[in-house]
Amino acid sequence: MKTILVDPSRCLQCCNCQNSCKDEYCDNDWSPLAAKQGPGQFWIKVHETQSGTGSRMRLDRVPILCQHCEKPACMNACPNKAIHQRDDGIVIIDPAKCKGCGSCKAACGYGVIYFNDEAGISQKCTMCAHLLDAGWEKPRCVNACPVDAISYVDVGELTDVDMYAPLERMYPELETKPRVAYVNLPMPFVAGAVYSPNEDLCLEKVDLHLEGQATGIAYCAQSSMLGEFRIEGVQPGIYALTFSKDGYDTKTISRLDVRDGLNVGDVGLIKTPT
Amino acid sequence: MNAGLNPDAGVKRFTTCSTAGPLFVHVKDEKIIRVEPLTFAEEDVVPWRLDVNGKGYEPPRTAPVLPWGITSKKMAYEQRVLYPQKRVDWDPKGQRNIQNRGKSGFERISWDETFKILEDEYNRILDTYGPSALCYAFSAHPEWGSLHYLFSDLMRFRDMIGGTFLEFTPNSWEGWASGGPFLWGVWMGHGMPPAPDTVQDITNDSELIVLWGNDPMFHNVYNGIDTARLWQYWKELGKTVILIDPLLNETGLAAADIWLPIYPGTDNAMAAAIAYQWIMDGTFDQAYLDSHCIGFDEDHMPDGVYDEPYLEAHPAWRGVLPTSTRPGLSFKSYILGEGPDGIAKTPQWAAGICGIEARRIVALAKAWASRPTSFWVMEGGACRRTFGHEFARMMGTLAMMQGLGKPGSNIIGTGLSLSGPYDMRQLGPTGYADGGMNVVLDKYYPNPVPAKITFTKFMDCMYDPPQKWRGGHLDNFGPEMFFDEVEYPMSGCSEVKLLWLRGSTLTNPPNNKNQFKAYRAEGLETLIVAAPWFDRDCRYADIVLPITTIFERQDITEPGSVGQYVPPSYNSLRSAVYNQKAIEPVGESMTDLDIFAELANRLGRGEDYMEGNTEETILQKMFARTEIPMTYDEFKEKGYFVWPNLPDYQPNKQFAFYRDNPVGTPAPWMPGGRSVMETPTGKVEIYSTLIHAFYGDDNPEIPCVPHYIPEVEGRFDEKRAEFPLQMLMAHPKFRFHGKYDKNEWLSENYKVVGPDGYNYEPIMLNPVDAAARALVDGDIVRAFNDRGEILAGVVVSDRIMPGVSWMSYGAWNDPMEPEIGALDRSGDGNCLSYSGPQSTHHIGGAFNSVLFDVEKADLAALVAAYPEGMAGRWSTWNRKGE
Repeated sequence: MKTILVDPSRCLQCCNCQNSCKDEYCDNDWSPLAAKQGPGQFWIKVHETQSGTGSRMRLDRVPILCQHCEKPACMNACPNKAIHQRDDGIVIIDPAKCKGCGSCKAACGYGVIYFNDEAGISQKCTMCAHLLDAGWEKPRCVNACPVDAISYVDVGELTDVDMYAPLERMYPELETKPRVAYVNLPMPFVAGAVYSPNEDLCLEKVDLHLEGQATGIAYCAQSSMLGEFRIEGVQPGIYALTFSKDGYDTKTISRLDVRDGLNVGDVGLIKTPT
Repeated sequence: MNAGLNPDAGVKRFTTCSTAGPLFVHVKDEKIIRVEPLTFAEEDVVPWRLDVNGKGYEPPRTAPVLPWGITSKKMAYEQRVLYPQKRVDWDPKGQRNIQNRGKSGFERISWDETFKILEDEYNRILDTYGPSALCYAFSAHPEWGSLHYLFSDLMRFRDMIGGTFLEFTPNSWEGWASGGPFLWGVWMGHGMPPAPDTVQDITNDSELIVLWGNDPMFHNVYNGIDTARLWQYWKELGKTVILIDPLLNETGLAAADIWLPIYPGTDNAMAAAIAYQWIMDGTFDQAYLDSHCIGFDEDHMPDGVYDEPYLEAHPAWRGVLPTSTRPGLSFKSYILGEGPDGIAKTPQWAAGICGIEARRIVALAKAWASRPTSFWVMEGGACRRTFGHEFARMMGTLAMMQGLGKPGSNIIGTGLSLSGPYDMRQLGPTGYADGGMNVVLDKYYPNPVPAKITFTKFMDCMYDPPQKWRGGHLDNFGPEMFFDEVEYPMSGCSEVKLLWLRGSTLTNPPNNKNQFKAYRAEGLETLIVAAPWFDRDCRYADIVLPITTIFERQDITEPGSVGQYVPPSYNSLRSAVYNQKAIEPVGESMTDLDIFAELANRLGRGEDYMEGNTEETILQKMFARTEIPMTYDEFKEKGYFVWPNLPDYQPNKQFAFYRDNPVGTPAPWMPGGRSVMETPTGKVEIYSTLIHAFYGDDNPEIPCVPHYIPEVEGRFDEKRAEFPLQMLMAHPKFRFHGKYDKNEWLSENYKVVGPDGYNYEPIMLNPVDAAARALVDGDIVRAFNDRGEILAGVVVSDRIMPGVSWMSYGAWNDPMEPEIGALDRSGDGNCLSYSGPQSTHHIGGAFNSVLFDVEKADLAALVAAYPEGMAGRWSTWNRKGE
């Protein structure tokens, strides 16, 4: 069964997905699958957050759309049975049956249902069901993405070759079994640079050992060009970071509180007296 | 399947090409219902391919379109000029009320009435003043086209009737245009060497990519977001990317491993220190510099440098050799402190200027010299500032020091200065700058009027003639054109009385109150703006003419092709697109071509202008020049053709020929068998003999070898005590200069909605600068300097370094008072930008040297102070003027 696969690490926030969605729905009525999209709605939206600081920051850009859950909270919450799930898994709010009570919007943990004041109905992504039904290869947002941050695939048929990162789901703890899949969701990182203050020298190939002080989870890396390092994919936690290089005193920085991106700055290693 | 719902029923799909890339346009009941990126069918494509260690890359079949392309359906119907309009108090037979331009509103008039006014005005001006009183300017990036383009319809009309050219300078690559030709000749790209086969070169051989003041991701001009997948691919191949920029820009966000924030305008100090380190380490290509360049060191100086008059000026050095006790004038002498300034350009020296620690400069220099490096530096804000020509000459010199042309070593930039395979045997439609109709019609009538006005002198010319300046040209076919003496009015020519703007928002002139002030000059009797959308300059017009968009006319174009002056620059599938007419003209809009043809008719030159042709017959003739293996009708019906990859393609990697052959070897692809370096010495002139001849040994604003010169309105300008922030004025991401500013779908992605519901232009501040002013995200601020004041919405981010703040230009002006220079609510950065010259050498484009400050705005007080302004009385889009 095909679904949308999102890779936020590729996203450029060009918003071609959002704008294609508006182009398809804002002025066109695709009832009974979707009435005209109201203003100010984002059936897919790129959310941006800064992680890290200074010159070692990252902008996390995560496109979020209706997850077309296997156990949709919205469907269960609807008192008017206006929401149904098609055989292909796509969840549809029937604009003719929706009475605009807003229960679905309140029930959805992903914030992807919008209320159309003018039409008095709730609205959301249909995965372009009207186009897929007519034989189109993919939804509009997928077609317009210039960098394959959104693709339309059968995740069950992905092989080792085309699956370049482990599949993830957004907010699995909501237990609605989302069908929309993600890879490379943003994870915390620890970044900085190592140098020798008395030589005024950037230090490459310094061994880095980042270890969870409670968990014992460890990550190893080396500083590279200009002494810079960035350890990606770190689980949140309290860490100690140890720097070691032949000829220099080993240094450890502890109690690093890693929640998103952490820039530890420029770390000086003292040359060992000979 | 839902019975009764067929999204394709009654829908016809058309092809076209836009400034954002090629598009499919879906039309139902004569209305556009959707616009999507054009996808070439699989059977139509034989792609080129890259392969490194089993990792492959093919350009996508679906065009990677820029954001505004996706929203263009909206702009086909919104903000349009629907019918001819006349300013209510402009009477060509009576009071013209020129002082009311930008104040009073507009009334609808018929096309008959319009053409009668135009005909009468032209006859009156031609009879009274002659053709030089007619003046023309154009928006630099209007709707996409080839036949329907300024170099086609406008130039033909202007030159046939005769007229003055209000020209801008090559703003996109300003310093490269004003400096590049003195280093290595003009090339066809006016100072920037073309970049053939650099995509393959980077892929196969570059290990390090240095992005210096460069952000290609959204700014590879008309090629769309065509490098996005390439950056992904290069990252997969393990290439290291270092960004040197005051802003963590879009390419940096996506691809940079290391970001080195640098103070604006200090780039040459850092570059000089890199050169110093290479010289100290001996890690540069001495043999290449010896054989192919001149002026790097004292042993390779051009003849005549140390002759009279140098010795007359410095009698003490007569008979003394350079570098012993006497200052040398070579680049190496300058770098090592053995030149006249006596300062060694060490990393420690540079660190105090550019803000990057000496150890990082040293490490970067070593990393660069030890790896084949792709150097992204052409175009960008770093060259659009005071002494921008020095930036280009300095960066070109760094490239030469590292053996430019050897495998993996190349110099490229954001704007069409990167290319995959591009086979010159595959002759497609002309590029937009190639002349369109003028290439295929029988006769061309050269302009009898030699007069030109460069845009930064426009106001002075209108108010205070006569004026004199040097250069300031758009097209510079040789470095000597920068030395041209230009005067206004030119001898034998009239002052300008009528100005015709093809497209609005012109080139977004810096310190734009000068532009608007010029529009109110008493002598400028008639101001005509022809534009699809009612934007900035329309508001100041006497007559506004409604123009069709790409959806309402036919054309033949090559996506992404500017013209043969930047020959091979395409990174996607190279194609030709038939711009099919998708809908009838909206309102009473017409093509510029039809308007000029009708006016030519009325002036008795109709036959000369069109030679009996129609839009269709001109397109047939343009098509006949191509090698596209289809009939015209087949091409028109299908809508596109994709050039197949030819197996016997011969790459011609940038600079490889020059490097691998003795100086002066005729290059096989150059007309007339010329060698590739068209400088006086035939070598790359690190010491410019032309600068020496024209400016002498020691002009502090344009020395013979490239220097670091502290910029005007830069970090070390004393004005910083009053205006502490340096402005970074990068291109807007969600509009094309000023085009599509008022587009709700785009605005939602970047504008800051104020507490009053107004869409404010964003201003990005570093947390340090925001905290110092007690500002937080979403605050509305007044940004100001001694040239103007604007409002903007705060975005706090570490993406911008402390002391620098990012604003864009191109917002549609919304002044609070009718007087020129009033507080502008739109947040157009060009209300504050610098319109002075780059230097004594070049009059144009130093927009990015700007100091300013911000403070929190009091919106309630503004509403009280400007009740009419805050209600939008003088806003660009208020056609009623009430």
